[in-house]
Amino acid sequence: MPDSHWLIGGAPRPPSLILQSRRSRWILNHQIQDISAYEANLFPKYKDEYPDAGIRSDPDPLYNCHGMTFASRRTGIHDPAMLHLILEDDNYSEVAPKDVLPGDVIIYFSNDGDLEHSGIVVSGPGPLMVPLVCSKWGKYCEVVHLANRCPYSYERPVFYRVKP
Amino acid sequence: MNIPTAAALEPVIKDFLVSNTPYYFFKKLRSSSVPSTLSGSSAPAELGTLFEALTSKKDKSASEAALAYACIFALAQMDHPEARSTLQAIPVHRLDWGIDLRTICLAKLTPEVRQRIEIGEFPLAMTPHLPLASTSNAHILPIRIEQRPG
Repeated sequence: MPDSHWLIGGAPRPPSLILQSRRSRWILNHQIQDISAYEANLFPKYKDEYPDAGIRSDPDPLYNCHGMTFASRRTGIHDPAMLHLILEDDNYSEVAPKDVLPGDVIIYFSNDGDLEHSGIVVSGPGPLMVPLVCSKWGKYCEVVHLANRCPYSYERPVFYRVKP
Repeated sequence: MNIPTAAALEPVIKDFLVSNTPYYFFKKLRSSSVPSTLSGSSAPAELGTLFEALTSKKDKSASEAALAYACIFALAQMDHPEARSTLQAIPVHRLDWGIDLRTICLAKLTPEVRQRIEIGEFPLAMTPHLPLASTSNAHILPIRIEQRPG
């Protein structure tokens, strides 16, 4: 693993794990350690803004949405390039929205092609073709929500499933 | 120095709290007026001092962290000779994504600064129509160059 994982410019980075894709390529990751009291005090605002969202965990800075989706909640994956690597190395294939099943991965792309958010499908699409998903909102909690009811842009959702 | 009000900072704090990656937060900062407020009203050294004060405590509030990140963005977008050296000197590692955000800002914001510098280097016989200074890649205006008559 490259030294830059731990030391960049002589400054210590947050702790990280040894993490690899199926094809043994390194996946850079970091475990952010703290949530300040002020941040914790702001979290209830999301309950007010998204009253229909189901909170399923306590706030935890250690992992982010991509760490929940692709690293079993053990760490945070903060570099979008790592996610493209995972999609490629782990044999993820795109799934048509009408064929989405629980357990599939949803990735939120912005209109300019950036990968902004990810989560796991909890139940397939309803009449409006919007599935229910579980995703982690930054340092906040894991939330079960309609895919289009979250702080992230639902401009270009793409669904994926690992193919053998 | 014009430090953004709590009301102006609140959307940045909210974006910060749900950001899953430094790049996502960078994009949110790019569409915010907070960095421009800082860079438009401050000298690089003032921003460096502000950053130092905001990050010297271990238990930073979300607003202090968000403002410190905005300082990094503001320094990176400043077209000032001291801004880059200040950006390299401040202890960005005190923020979880400080190093990453500085790297992203330098990669994404530098070309526009360079573009503006290059405009000033056209031969005298040519008059560039200057684009509005913008920090957003999505809002770069086309440059039209005309030959001066005679």
